[in-house]
Formats: sequence, C-alpha cells, structure tokens
Amino acid sequence: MHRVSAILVVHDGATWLPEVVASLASQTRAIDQLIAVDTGSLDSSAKLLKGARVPIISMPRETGFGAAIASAVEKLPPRAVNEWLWIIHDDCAPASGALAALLAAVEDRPQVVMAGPKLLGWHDRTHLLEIGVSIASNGARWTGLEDSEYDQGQHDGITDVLAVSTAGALIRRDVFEDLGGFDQNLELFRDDVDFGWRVHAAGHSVVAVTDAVAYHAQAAATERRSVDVEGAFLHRPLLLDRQNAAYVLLANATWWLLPLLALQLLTSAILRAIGYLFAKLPGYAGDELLAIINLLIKPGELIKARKDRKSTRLVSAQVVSQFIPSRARQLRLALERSRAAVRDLILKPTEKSSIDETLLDLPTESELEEEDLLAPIATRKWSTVFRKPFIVSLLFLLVLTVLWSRNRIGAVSGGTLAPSPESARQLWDFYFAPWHEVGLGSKSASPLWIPLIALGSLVTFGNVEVFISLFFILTPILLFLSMHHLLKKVSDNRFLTAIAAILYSISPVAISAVNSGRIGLIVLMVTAPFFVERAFQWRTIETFSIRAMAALSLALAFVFSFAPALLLVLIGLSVAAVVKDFDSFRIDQDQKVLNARLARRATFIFIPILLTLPWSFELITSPRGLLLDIGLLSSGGGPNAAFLANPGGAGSLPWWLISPITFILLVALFSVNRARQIAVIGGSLIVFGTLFSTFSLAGKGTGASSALYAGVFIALATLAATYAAVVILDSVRERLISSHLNYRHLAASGLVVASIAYGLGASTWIVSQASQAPLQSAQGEVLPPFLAIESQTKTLVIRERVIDSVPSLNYYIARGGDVSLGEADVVPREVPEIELAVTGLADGSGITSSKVLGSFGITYVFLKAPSQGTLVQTIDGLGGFIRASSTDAGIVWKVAGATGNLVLTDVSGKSVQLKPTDTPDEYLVPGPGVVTLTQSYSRGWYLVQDGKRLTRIQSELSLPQFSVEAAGPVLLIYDGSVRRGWISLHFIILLTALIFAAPSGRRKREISDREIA
Amino acid sequence: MRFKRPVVIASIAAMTLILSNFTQGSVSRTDFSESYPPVVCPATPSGETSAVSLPSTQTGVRVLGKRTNAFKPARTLRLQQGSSPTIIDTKNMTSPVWQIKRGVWAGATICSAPSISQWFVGGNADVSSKGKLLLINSGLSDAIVDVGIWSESGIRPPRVITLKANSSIVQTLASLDPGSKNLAIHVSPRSGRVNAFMIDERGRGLRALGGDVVNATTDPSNVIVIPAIPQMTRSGKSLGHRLRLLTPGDLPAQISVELISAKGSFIPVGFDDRTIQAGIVTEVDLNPTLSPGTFALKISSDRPIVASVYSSTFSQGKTDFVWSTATDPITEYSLAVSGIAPLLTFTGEKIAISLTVRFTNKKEKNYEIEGDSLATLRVPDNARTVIFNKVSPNTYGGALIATQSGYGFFPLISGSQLTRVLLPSPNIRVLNP
Repeated sequence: MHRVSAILVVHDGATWLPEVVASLASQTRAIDQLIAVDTGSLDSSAKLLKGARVPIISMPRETGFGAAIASAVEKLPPRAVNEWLWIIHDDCAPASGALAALLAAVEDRPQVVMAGPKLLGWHDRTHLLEIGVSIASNGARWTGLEDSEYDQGQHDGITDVLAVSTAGALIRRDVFEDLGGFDQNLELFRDDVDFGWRVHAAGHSVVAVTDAVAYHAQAAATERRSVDVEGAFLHRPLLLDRQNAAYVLLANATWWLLPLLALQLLTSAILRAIGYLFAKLPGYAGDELLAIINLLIKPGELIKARKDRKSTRLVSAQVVSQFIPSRARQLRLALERSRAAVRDLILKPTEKSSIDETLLDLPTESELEEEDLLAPIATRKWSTVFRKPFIVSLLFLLVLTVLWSRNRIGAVSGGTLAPSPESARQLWDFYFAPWHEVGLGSKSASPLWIPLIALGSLVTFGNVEVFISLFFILTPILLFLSMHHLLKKVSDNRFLTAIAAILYSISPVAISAVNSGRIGLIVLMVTAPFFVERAFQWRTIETFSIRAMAALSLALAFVFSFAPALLLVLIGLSVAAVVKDFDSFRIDQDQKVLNARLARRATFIFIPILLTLPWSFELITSPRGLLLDIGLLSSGGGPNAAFLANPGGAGSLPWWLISPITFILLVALFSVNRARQIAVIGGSLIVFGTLFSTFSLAGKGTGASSALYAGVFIALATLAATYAAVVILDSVRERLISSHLNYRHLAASGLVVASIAYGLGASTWIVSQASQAPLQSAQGEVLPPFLAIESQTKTLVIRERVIDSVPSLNYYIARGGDVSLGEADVVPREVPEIELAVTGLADGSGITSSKVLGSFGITYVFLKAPSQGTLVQTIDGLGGFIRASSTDAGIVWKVAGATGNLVLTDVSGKSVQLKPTDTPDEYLVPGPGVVTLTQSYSRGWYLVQDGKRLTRIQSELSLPQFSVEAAGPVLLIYDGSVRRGWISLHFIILLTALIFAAPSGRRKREISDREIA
Repeated sequence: MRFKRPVVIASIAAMTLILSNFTQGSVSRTDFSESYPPVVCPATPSGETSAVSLPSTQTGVRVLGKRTNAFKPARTLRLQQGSSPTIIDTKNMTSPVWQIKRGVWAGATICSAPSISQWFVGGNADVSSKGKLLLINSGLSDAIVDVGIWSESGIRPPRVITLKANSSIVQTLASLDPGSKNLAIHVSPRSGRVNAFMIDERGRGLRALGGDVVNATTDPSNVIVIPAIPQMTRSGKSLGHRLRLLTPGDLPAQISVELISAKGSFIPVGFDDRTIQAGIVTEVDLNPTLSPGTFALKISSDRPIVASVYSSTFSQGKTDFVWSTATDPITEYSLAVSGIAPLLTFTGEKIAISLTVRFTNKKEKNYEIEGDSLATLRVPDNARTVIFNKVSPNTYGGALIATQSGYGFFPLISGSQLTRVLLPSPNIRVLNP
C-alpha cells in the first residue's frame, strides 16, 4: 500500500493554480497528503491556496525549487513505508488518472524510484512536451521529440528514462532523502535531470509512464513569469538553464570525460551565441557565454558537488550513457528539423494559393461515389507534360544550350574571362594576398567577386574550372528560369511568359555575355528579375524595414561586385527618385517621410559600397573601374549597336540581327498601363547605354583605348522590355479580339513578328557561330612550359593579335604563367619606360631596350607564334637579346645582363643578381651597395638585415631600393597589415549586415501562448 | 497635343543617335611606325672594285664590323665600296652596286634590306668556279642561316652557317656542292638580320671566263617574269642563252615559256608544256632568232618554280656573261643612278610608266613610257636619280649596264620596302590563351 504526499510549489502561479488544484482534487487515486510551498508569490496564489484549504509553507521569494521541496519534506510527518512524494508545479495540472497510473507503474517495479507522466501542452493538449528527459553532451535538454510533435500515442508505454520532469514526478521519499533531495545549487531548471542521473548512479531506475498525463505550461522556461531565485544571475531563465545544464554534466560525468565536455560546452555555447546574434537576440547570446563563464569562475561548487555525488554513487556514472543521445542521433534530429523548416518555407501556402478555388465547388460525397462508378479510370498521359509551354520552352533551350556549348566542355577561357585556377583555394589565396604577382606586382585589393566565385565553386567541390564551365553552360537556363519566375507573376498566360523568358535568355546582351565570357553581366542578368518586385516599391521606399534594407543592400552589393556599372544605374535611379521625393514633399509637406526616403536612398548607395570594401574604395578613387566590366577588357560595339540593344563587341550578334528590344520599348511608351512606366526606365537605359558606348577607355592592363561595353545598361533595358512586352500582350489580347482593326493590332502583330523573326535568327546564329565565340575550352597555354616553370621569372610576352579585324601588337609581363582569373582587376599601372623599350624592340630603335628591360628584372622576351618575320629580324638586329629558343610556340630571347628579383649594384656600379638561400624569402648579399627590388614600388616592401629594416627609397624607375651596408643574408618582406586590416573591417561590416538581414528571433516571452502550444 | 509624345520620343532617339555618333571618339587601336630599313651593300672582294650609287651626299653610311653603329654622311654620290659590307640609310631610294674586276667582268646588284628568304639561281661549283656566296649579318645578335643547295644532281643536305653579330663571311660556291655545274641556292635565316649576295665568277686556268653578280630572285611562284635579257650577236651570230630552272617542290612542273620581244611575243620551239623534274636544276639552251636588243621571258608553270637566264655578252670588245633574274612587278620608287647609265627594260601586257629623271645639275626631265609588251629607256649619263612616279600594274623591269669590263643586270625593284611596324601597346590579354 502506497502513501502519496503531494508537494505543490507555487510562485506567482495564480494563472494556472485554480485548474492545478482542481486537478489534484479530482485524482481517481486520492492524494494522501497535500502541502503547498509558496515562494513569495506577489499575485493571488497564496489566497487561492488558502481558499482551497491547502496547507501552505511560505518562503522567501528568492527560494530555489530544491530548497522549497526540501522545506516541504521537512514539514511532512516521518516517512512511512512506501511513501511517495508527488512533486507538482503550480503550472502543471495532472489528468485525473495520473497518480493512479503512476502508482500502478511502480507497483511491480521495485527498482523504480522515480516516475513521471507524459507531459502535454497547457494550451494545445495534443502537443507532446516530454516523455522523460535527458541531456545532450552539449548541455541541451533532450526529449527525443520533434518540434511541436502531435501526440497520437506513438510513444505510449512505460519506458526507462534518465529522468522525468519534476512537474508531476513521483519520487520515493526514502530514496529522495537518502540522495539529499534536489541539488540546491540548481535553484531552477535541470534539477530533474541531475536527480535522475543520481538515482541511476545509486542503482535505481526512472520510468516515464504515458498512461499518466499532465498538462504543463512551462511558465518559467517560456518566460511567462520572472525568475527570482537567489542564484539566478540577472534573473535570466536562459542563462540559468545553460549554467545548470553545464553544472549537471560536469558534476555527474566521469572525470576523464570532463575536458572533452568542457570544450564541447564552450564550443556549442559560442556557436549558439553566434546563432542568437544572427537572430538579433544579443541577450540570449550573452546568456550562452555568461552561463559558461559564471560556472567556470566558481569551481568550488563543482568540486563539492562531485564529492557529494561520489558518496551516494553505487554504480558508475557511465550507467546513464544509454540515455544520453549519441551525436549521430542529435545530428539526425537537427537535420530533420532543418528539413522541416526548409519544407515549411518552400511549401508555405501563398495568399493566392491558400484558398483553392476548386474546393469551393467540390462534389458531394454521393456525387463522388457515383462518379467513381460511372466514370472510366482517368489516366493522364505523360505526353501531356510536353504540351506545357514552360516544359517545351525549357526543352528547346536545353537543346539550344547543348549545341551552343559544344565548344565549351572543359575549362573555358577567352573574351573577358581569364583561365580559372584549378581549386578554390587558389582564389582564396588571391583574395587575401596583400601583393599580387601580376606584371611588375600590384597591391590593389582583390575584387569581392573572387571569393564569391570561390564560394560558388563549393557546389563542384572546390573545382573552379568545372564551376565556371557549368555556369556558362547553364546560363541560358538560369536566365530563362529567373525571368520566368518574374513573368509568371505578371501574366497567367504561360505561353506568353515562356516565350518572353526564352527571348530574354537569347537576347543580344545575353548572347554577347555568354560568348565573350562576361561572368559579371550574367550574374546581373540572372539576379535582376528578382529585384523587380522591390523596384516597384522604389517610390515608397520609406516602407522598407531595416531587415529588408539590409537584405537588399547585401543583394545589391553582391551584384555590384560582379557588375560595377550597377552603381551608376543605382545613382541615376536614386537621383531621379529624389527629385520625385521633393515633388511629393511640396504637395504633402511630410518632412518625416521625406527624411526617411532620403536616408534609405542614401543607404542603398553607400551600404553596397561599404559591403565591398576595400575594392569599392579603389573604384571610387579611380572611377574608370565603374565603367569597365570585370575581367579582361574587351570593347563594345559602339552607339548604333547599343541603340538596338546589342552591346556589340567580340561574340555579339551581327548588327543585322536586330532584336525587338528597342521596338518593344518604343511601343510600350505609348501604352496606357504599367508597361509605359517600365518603358520609360528601359528607354532611358537604352539612351544612357548608347551615349555610354560612345566613350573609349583604357585600363585593366590594356594601354590602348577600347570602346566601352554598355552591357549593364542594355541588360537592364532588355529586362524592362521583356517585362513590358508581357504586360502589354497580356492586357491587350482581349481588347484586340473585341475591337476592329486599328494601330494596336499593327503594333502587336509587329511586335510578335519581330520577336519570332529575331528568335529564329538568333537561335540559328548561336548554333552556327558557336565555334567562333571567343569563349572556348581547351585554348592551350600562352607561355611554353619551359618558361612557365620558372614561377618568379619575368617574361615579356609579345604577341601579334587581330582584335575585331584590326591587327595589333601587344605585350605584357608574365610571371611564370598565363593570366589567371581576377588578375586583370588588380593590374599595376603601365610603366612608360617599359613601353618605350618595347616600342624600340618593334621599330628597331631600341638600342637600350635590353638594358631597360633588364633593369625591371625581365629575364626573357617571348614572341608568341605566329609572328611576322620582320619583328623577329628587328629584335635579332638589336643588341642585348640572345636567342634562347625557337619553337612552334614562338621565339625566346634572353635579356643580356644581370636581371632577377633582387639586384645588387655595388659602389663600382657593377650589378649582380642576388641568389636566394635555402630559407624562404632570404637572399645573400655579397657586399655593400644598393639592392633594387624589381617590383612596383610600395611602402609595404621591407628588406631586413640582422633584424633591422634597411632604408627604403624609390628609384628613378619607381622601383624600391635599399641601402645595404654590409655583406650577409637579407630577408625580403611584404607587410600585409593594411590588407588584413581592410579584410577585417570588411568582415565586420559584412557580418553586421548579415545579422541585420537575417530573420529576427523572438524572445520567448514575445511568443504567444497559442504559438508556444 | 495629340502628337506630342511621338515627337518627343522621336526627338530623343534622333538626338541620342546623332550626339553619340558625332561624339564617338575615333578609337585608334593600332599605331604604326613606318620606316625604310637601312640597306646592306655587298663587300668588294679582293681584286675587284665596286661603287654604290647614292641618292645624296648626305646619305648615312656605316661600315659593317665597326664598333660604332652610327651612320655618317657619305659626302659623295658614288661611294667606293671597301672590303667590308656597307650599310646605308637611303630611305626610299634604291642604290645599285656596280662591281667590276677591271677588264675581266662586271656585274650589278642593288643594296637591299635583310630578308628572310633569298633564292639565287645561278653560279656553278665545278673546276671553273671562282664564285662566292657572301653572307652578311648586320644585326647585333648572332645569326643562324640555313643554306639550301640544289644542283643538276638534286638537292644537297642544307648547310647551317652561324654568323656572329655585325659580321659577314664568304663561302665559295665550290665548297657548297663541289663539281656541280648548275647551282640554285636558297638562303633562309633562322635568326638575325641577314643579307646574301652571290658572285658567279668563272675561269679556266688563267683564262677568265667572265663573271656576274647573281641577283636574288623572288620566292618560287607559278608565273615568273625575267624582264631584261640582253640579246647580242657577235659576227652576226647570236651569243645564246641558257635558261636555268628549278622546281623546289616534290613534283615535276609543266612549264611554258613565252618570249617577249619588241617585235612581239612567242613561245620558242620546245618550250611549250615542257616538263621540269622536281628538285633538279635544269638548264635549257635558248637561242631565239632575234635582232640585237633585249627581250623578256614569262614562264608559266603548274608548280612553283625559280628561274634565271644566263646570257653570254660581248660589249666594247669584251666577252662576259650576265645573269638575268626574275623580279617582282615594279612599284613606285626611286633609283639612284649616279655614275651609271643603265638601259631600263620594261615588260608587261600594257606598259604605262611615268618617271622623272633628276640630273646632277638638279634639273629634271619627265618621261612617259608606253608599250604593249616591251619598252626600254636609256638613262642619260648625267642622271642622278630615276623616280618612278606611276607604274602600270604587272609591269616588270630590269636594268642592263654595259661597260668595258663587262655586262651587268639588276632588277628594278625597291631595295628597301616601306616597313610598317605595329607599335606595341600593353595588353594583359596577350597572356590569355
């Protein structure tokens, strides 16, 4: 025969107390004795208890849960045989049969000294909260249940568990007292797990009994009431929970596991803190870290706790290992939760689809039955899939893409695209490097698109070549999908949206971008459709939340880093919008709205700039970079082509294949709906693009000016035209059917005919001219292997090329290999002395060319085949160039004289090349003199001898020189502190923006009861 | 206004196009440097004398092998050539070299710019041969030259000759292919600024058989024109000619030879559809019945060939021989003729040449030469330069000089072509495959 003494602990629980007391009173197996402990409730809890004639022990408000229970146990009569303590929280209402079920479970299980009910939600009583509880190795409370798991009896039964919640726990009084009750260092939270662990260590068992049910509000954990216990630092529940979790693990675990556990606790606390920071919950992030710190600064408590547990332990603490979830199980649950979150995100019903209109006209059940009997079984033929315009268009594009890409299988380069490095690591190295071995060397900041490509290549396991190749192959498909994603919101006519998306993906600018390897322009074209919806809210920008601003700024920074000219478009749009803002202000005189608009518009200009530091800083100080595409410089086709929405240049459509883009914009300008608004923007972009194309600019390692490529303007104009066309045709169809023949019919039919003609023409051209595109795979290498093997050697490469049917003779300094991705964006300025020397090589006047080239450390001159014999003769005729080889690849001359990376000129004027020692970056100086470093001058260069920096000066040729007083080894160093500083600043800005852009988390007290339920 | 919007849109479009096309900067992506490279004149072998006709006394001259590379004014219109080759900066003028072994033979050639391929169809290497091949490297780096040799026995293994910078060497023809009677030589430098000249001098014992400078011919082609062949008689008998031909390829050539004289054109007997074996230097007697004067040959072939004509001469009581070689069509250029009075011979289907002869007294005289197949002009004695102002297309020309020492021929082509050199500009794209 059991005796049950129920202990009800109350702390500001008036909300739940009436139901709790009622539930206790209605137990089918009556409680033998009930005693309540009120820990200084400020509400009407005490009054309610008195009204219910429940004996009360009043204790201070700071009293912990364990102390409250201990106090109640003390007040109970001496323990009887088979006496059980039933611990009840003031927010936990047991079902009427709970106690009976618990007692039944322990009746024939003598080893069980603690049993707990199945805990369900207070508000949603099908929400499964706990069936026993454990602790994960990172301190997390482990129930083994999914989030908001619905109780369908799937876990029913009596199961051995590590512990059960103290809410509704039935504990044998003798064991409770023998083990010293709940650890009073755990004033709240995790005392249940700790006690369960100790019970197991003492040789007993704990069971969860699902026949016993209790409804728990979890008021403290969900911050429905304050945590006032004495040990609760800052009275923060999360802090207390995390601190106690660590305490439980460190106090009970086997000693040899302690270092690992401590490390795991710290790591997971840091990771969770980062997660909370991204969720903009810095308080919770602080709780995570403070909890660990708070515990570690008081090791005395832990030592004493471990000693106490040792005195009551009969079996190894490892006995509980079966209840501690394995890492694999934890990972599996985390993955399942992530998958569910993603699924919810994707399958979240939209407002439009939330009400299925077909449901409104559902047949009745009887009708269904009749239909089932009478109607033949409907089989849907798979071929019907191919009647969908989207699928057909996609298939057409797939076939076109395969034919288009037939020469781009493998590592691609050409046009503006330099060969890619093999691995992403090389791109990361390039991004972080403070000094780039390009030409004579450069300290320019690497553009942000480099690490973005490196990140993107994760999908190909870090293989950049494969990633870039796949990117260009898939570009038409990506353009189609992104445009279709936008257009399907504009029109329900799938035929129209699919055709328009195809025209976008084979528009002149798209063809030009693919054929000439313009990765930046393609990124802009793929992402631009996703900005359109936001762009329509551009006028009412004051409605943008901070999170939306941050997210949009990040997205703009992403695109800006690939397409610098986007900043010009942004500035243009912002200026136009500001003018409108002031117009609106003159009418409504709302200063607040005006300020909000101006601030936000400025944000969209400056935040992307900040997010792309320090690269953007260099762009602003040298604005020509804003006008040039990323990668190698390649000219555009001039204003007339641009006016026809064809950027021109290598790989572009011929002028006679005129796209309907400009025509559509012209037609749309006469429209009366939204298309006109879009056409104004698109038309303006065409005008700006046309004017932009008239200018020529040199740069990016190119001395000769090239016609600017207006790809960014034309791409956005193409987007506008495609959108406008769909808007016009979608709305005009009905009107055309119902009206007599008029100019609208002519315009619409002209538009359709022009589009079809263009589509057919462009497709044919793409297929037939694919092999002529500059972007190809297997392009070989420029430098022959015997020159490329000397990675530090500078080789002047001269090459006769035909660019756009115009012959040209170009040169550049190779540093042991061909140009690589990103290098064109960090090239140093041209050196006039080298330009003069190379000119002398070509026209035969360069008697001193070899001396000048040698001064810059250029060891070889390589004339790439094919070349005219006259140039070879000219170089042969000049002194100072010794033929080294003549192969099919070209002719190599060795530059006479001492050349190399470091050259010492002694007091007699004799120059010798410094030889490196076995130590990296160390050279041996044979005597005093001036050491010249044949790299571009930068204040980052240092030559260190005997631990002292040698005096650095800038030579007449703008090379760094150092005065060496004595013979001995010297160390050549480039100080990358400035670069590291910039990268750190950039990282901080990026992180801040990411945190602002991330979805906000909510404090638990901000979550409604219904949601918690 | 009903038409306001269309007018505004059309105006903006028109303005944009007009403005952009007018303001578009003319992008000159290619810069050129145009110059006439200095030309090299052959050295004078010992026992001989040679003189170079210069266009001006201020013409820059430097001697090969000297340490200085600077040009100095010649201070004469007729430069006496020394034992070392001379490099002269004649700009757009072509200077002929008149080389004689006094009383024994004479020959002519032009000072020319370094070339990457020169064919010499002439000379022999038998016991009578005293001929030489002169190789000159006017560059400041070492040169490697491939010398390909063909004879009546076929092709010989090529010789590879290395020349030091700023130097020249003389290779006797007899050493190239001893015993061969008919030579054809191809000089192609692998590296360096190389010129080659050939002297074909013959003698039997102490008896001189004459000599000549064999001018370099153009690369093998299917149509060859030899524009000036002297037709001479001695005691009423034609002195005769020998046509030397080579098909350097692997397949025999079918040739047809058209003789062009002042009285008309014809194909001599046996010269229509004649087969020339590949790789073998073939010599064919050519004895047309013509009155004294000059004639030209036009050789058509189904394979690329090279050819020249050996002609025995008798002038001013002295026997000699001359090699008339194939040339390229004449272009507008200027020829220095100080000290020489060549007979200019032109051939072509429709000859129309406008030239100016400038005299040493600075007077000028214009000549208009017109003809159907062959035309000649004797340059006056005191002429200094001949300027070809206008030349009809596909007109070929050669110059013949007769002196007491012998007879000479040189082609009417420019010794130094205007070289248009692309000026290099930095472009990192050269490193992009």
